[in-house]
Amino acid sequence: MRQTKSFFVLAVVFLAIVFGQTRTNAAQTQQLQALTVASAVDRDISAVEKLIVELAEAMPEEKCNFSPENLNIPGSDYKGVRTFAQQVKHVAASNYAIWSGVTGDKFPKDYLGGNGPENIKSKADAIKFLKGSFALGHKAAATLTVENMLQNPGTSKSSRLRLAVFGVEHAFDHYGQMVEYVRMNGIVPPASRDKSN
Amino acid sequence: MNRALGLLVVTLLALAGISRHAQAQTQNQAPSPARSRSDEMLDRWNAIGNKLTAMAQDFPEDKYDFKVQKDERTFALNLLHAAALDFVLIRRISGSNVGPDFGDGDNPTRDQFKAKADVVKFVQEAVADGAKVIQRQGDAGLDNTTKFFGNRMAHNSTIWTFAIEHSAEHYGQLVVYYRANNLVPAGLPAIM
Repeated sequence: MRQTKSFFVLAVVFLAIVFGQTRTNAAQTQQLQALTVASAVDRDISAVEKLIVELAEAMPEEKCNFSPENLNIPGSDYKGVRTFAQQVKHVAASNYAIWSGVTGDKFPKDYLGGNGPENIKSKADAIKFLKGSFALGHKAAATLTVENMLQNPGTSKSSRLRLAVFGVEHAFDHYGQMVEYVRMNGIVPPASRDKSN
Repeated sequence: MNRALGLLVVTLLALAGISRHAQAQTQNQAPSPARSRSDEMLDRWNAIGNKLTAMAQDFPEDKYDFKVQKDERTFALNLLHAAALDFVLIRRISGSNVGPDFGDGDNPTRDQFKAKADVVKFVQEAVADGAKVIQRQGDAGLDNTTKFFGNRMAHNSTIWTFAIEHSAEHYGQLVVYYRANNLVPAGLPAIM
């Protein structure tokens, strides 16, 4: 009797594990099937957006005009390179330039020149500008379909997909530079605080 | 004077005519066929891979162990890390054992790559081997799924994109390393 009961309990546990595993696998498969080109690109944009916005927020306002040039490192040549704030504004202005090509939105004239409008001075305004540029990225991603992703929008020589992901790659390049800037100020980037990367 | 002005007007009109003719020709031509997704992925892979390779080749060997701050990777370790992660992902996507396996980690040490030439070769191999897999698997391969980080399945297109973006991030860091040594990476303007 006791053996039968134990067997019954074991069988129930076994079935629960198998059933649970099957449900997990099914959920994963469903999730993958639901992933579209738009949602895949959107996820990439969200990933770099989170990294850069958090990094920009981590830099104290009084250090936003920091450039490695300020450190006068012997043997270096940082003369004229972008400040931290200019890096933020450059990423934002470039995002607008790249992703407006996908959405068809008008690219504002004062965003030309690579560093965005001159009147953006404060950290809060720079971050607002940055967040707005990523909002355009999400809009661009949402327009992507299997049918149109390899088409060149307007007069662009690149496909919609290439433009959409280039914005992300470009942002990662500058994120890497900004990581060095914050570390030069004794700040560990938020994304690296729990691990060695 | 009048003759010179006349010549100038004729020349400008001729140039305008040539330009309009060229424009009309472009508009009348059938558009070039769309490139495949794997071709575009290959372009992106090679673009960032070649930039890292160029840095590896160009940076002076005696500065390979330079780093800007103490708690970060040296120039060489940045390159080795980027290439090692590429190999981790290439192995997963291709289901092969291509490239050196450093266990679960993607942080090889200089002990394994003592000379600049060893580092350059490692980066070049990662770029070339990844390119081969993208070409071999084609568009269909991008839609296959592979076990990714966090024990989740992901489409290979997502994994390739992750590798490209990861390399771009480390490229950005190395740009700052360059200027700390009074150098400018090839292809970059004097001001970044």
